[in-house]
Amino acid sequence: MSGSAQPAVRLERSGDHWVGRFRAMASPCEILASGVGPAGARRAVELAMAEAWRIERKFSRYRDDNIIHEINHSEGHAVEVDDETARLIAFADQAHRMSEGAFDITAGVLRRVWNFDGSDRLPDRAEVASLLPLVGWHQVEWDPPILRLPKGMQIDLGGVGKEYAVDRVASLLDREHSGTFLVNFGGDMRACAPPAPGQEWEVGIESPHQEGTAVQRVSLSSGGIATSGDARRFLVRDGIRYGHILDPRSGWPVPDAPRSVTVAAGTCTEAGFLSTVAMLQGRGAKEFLREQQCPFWCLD
Amino acid sequence: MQLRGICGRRSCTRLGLAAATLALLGSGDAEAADRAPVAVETAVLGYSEPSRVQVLEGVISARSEIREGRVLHGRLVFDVLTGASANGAVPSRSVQTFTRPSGESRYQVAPGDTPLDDGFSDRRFAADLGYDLPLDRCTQLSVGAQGSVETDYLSLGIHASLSRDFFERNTTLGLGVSVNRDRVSPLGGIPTPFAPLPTTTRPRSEDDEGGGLNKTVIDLSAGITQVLGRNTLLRVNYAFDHASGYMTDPYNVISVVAAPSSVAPGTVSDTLHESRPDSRTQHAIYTELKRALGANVADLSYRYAANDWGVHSQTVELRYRQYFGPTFYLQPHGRYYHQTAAGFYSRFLIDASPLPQNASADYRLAEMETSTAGLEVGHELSNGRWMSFAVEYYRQFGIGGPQAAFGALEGLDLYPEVSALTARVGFSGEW
Repeated sequence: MSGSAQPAVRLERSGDHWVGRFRAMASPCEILASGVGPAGARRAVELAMAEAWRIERKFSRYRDDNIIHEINHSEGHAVEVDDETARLIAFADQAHRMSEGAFDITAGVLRRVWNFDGSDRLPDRAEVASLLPLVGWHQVEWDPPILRLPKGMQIDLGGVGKEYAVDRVASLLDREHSGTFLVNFGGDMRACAPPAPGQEWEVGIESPHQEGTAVQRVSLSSGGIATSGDARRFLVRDGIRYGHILDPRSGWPVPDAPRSVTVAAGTCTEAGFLSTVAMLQGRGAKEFLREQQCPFWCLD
Repeated sequence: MQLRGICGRRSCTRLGLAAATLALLGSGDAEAADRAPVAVETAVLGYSEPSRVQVLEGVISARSEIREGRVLHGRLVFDVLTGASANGAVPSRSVQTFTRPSGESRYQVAPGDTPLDDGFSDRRFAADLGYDLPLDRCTQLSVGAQGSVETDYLSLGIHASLSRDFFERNTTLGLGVSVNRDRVSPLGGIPTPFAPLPTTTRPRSEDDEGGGLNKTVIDLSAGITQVLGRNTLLRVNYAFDHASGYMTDPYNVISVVAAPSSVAPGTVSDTLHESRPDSRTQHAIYTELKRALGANVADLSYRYAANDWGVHSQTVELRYRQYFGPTFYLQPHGRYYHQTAAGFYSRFLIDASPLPQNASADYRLAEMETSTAGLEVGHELSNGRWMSFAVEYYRQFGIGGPQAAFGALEGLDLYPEVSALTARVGFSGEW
């Protein structure tokens, strides 16, 4: 499934477990495997990689041969979607409702005017305003499995796809393999079980200021962790820093949001949703997360 | 989402999210073990009425989501009460001697002083345990039991409540019921209503033990919580409660004074045990408006309660939490309370007048106003672990009743003001 042209999995021994690395979804991906031999670890990592690539191919908005392309080019016509797509859209629909519009898979069109390249090029207010009619999940007709997207609007499952892939891969490995695994796709993680009874996976949360430096180590026995925020994607103008998370209701980044928010929850998907919505609370991110009663780490 | 947090319905939000995630990931993930952190809150509180009651209280409460949406929570409270409390008698121009409730000893009160029973001392231990479980995505059932024990008082009860979200969780309706059965077993037994206080002491005997009477309290409540826009929340609650059984304070007394027409008007001629009706029905309406101003929260509430004893009360409270950075907040609050006197409240009885059906000189049943001002400071020590310190000053004033002083009572403080200072140190976090 992974295609023979793809580079092989890299497998290393690290302490008492194995680490397999590959790239998917524009992120470095890691599978930590405990309680298995090298052959078992390799098979598990290959399975993980195949599943990650399958999800990426199916839901990437950069391809022209998948369901997302079909939906985004439906020109206002109804599209019947398959089961898996329907489940993802149903989740996005619920997430939109639960977040009172803050989580919105139609917000991607705003990227036409927002380019977070570290420069000071802010879009014009009028430019942003002109795109707002194309943003808003409430405008979409969703009668599962039929989706009708108004002409000009687009959906992007990037806000849930990676977390979904992490959870999918974790439960797949848990089901198909003996041994226990931690799945880490670019900082979004999920473990179905501890590495060994009574032990915990030790993971680092990356500093928003410097790639590759873990500033905080957290312990995870099972459950999901997700991080929102990216130190490398921002704009600065007149001393104000505009982070890359846009509020779909205004079309503008939320002021005073933390640089990154990391949340632990039952699954990576839940953690991802909570961290994204927390970022959209701006200065209220910590308060929001406290109210949710989930462990979290904010980096300002 | 922000509102969900503010209104404290996080279990339902988290539950909604968990349900949506479950639908996305399929049942294969259903058995995935969630981390079940235990949220713990502890506090130590000191309450002091200068030269009267002192209370030291320790509270610990914990809650944990043992399975998705199913929350187990419990609370333990331990109080130590010491000091003196007003026994209900009027001050007098001469030394007054009272026999303690146990009958074993006596205490004297100086002329002009408010009679306080200084042997007041007790320990109270209270616990409650509750379990919240979702019935479906929007409906939650909560059940529990509570109890408290003191030397002379035992209370046991159960409670249940049901809440359901409507209109995309913008509206929540709730219904609750609680039943408490209390046993009052005063030192020295249950006094006969209006019986004179014994003037002599007697050794404690076996007969003193085991004398007790019951009281039953039933509470019913119905409420609605409505989200009004992105930052505002309104809550309206109606509560009905009915108490029946032994409602009298076995340690409270009432003075009988000589009539204005007598030879020595206003002098104390006798001291009787008080007597209260054996039932009380109360209706209360509570409204609360909460508004988020960025991370800060303002909270305004008003409560009106009326019972068939004739006590009508109103409470207005304002609370505001201001954050200074993400790890520090100040929360000032103020409260004003007013109540009318119970129909049977009487500061004293007149000698040779017919006895009323019930009478109590308990200042808590008098007309009064109270005001409270407080400040809480909170600081986050580390991830989600907060420490708080709060102080509160409370004052009762405008205490009064229908009767004016006359004769020997003139110039004595029949309605002394009471003030109290409370300090609390709290700690909360997850483990």
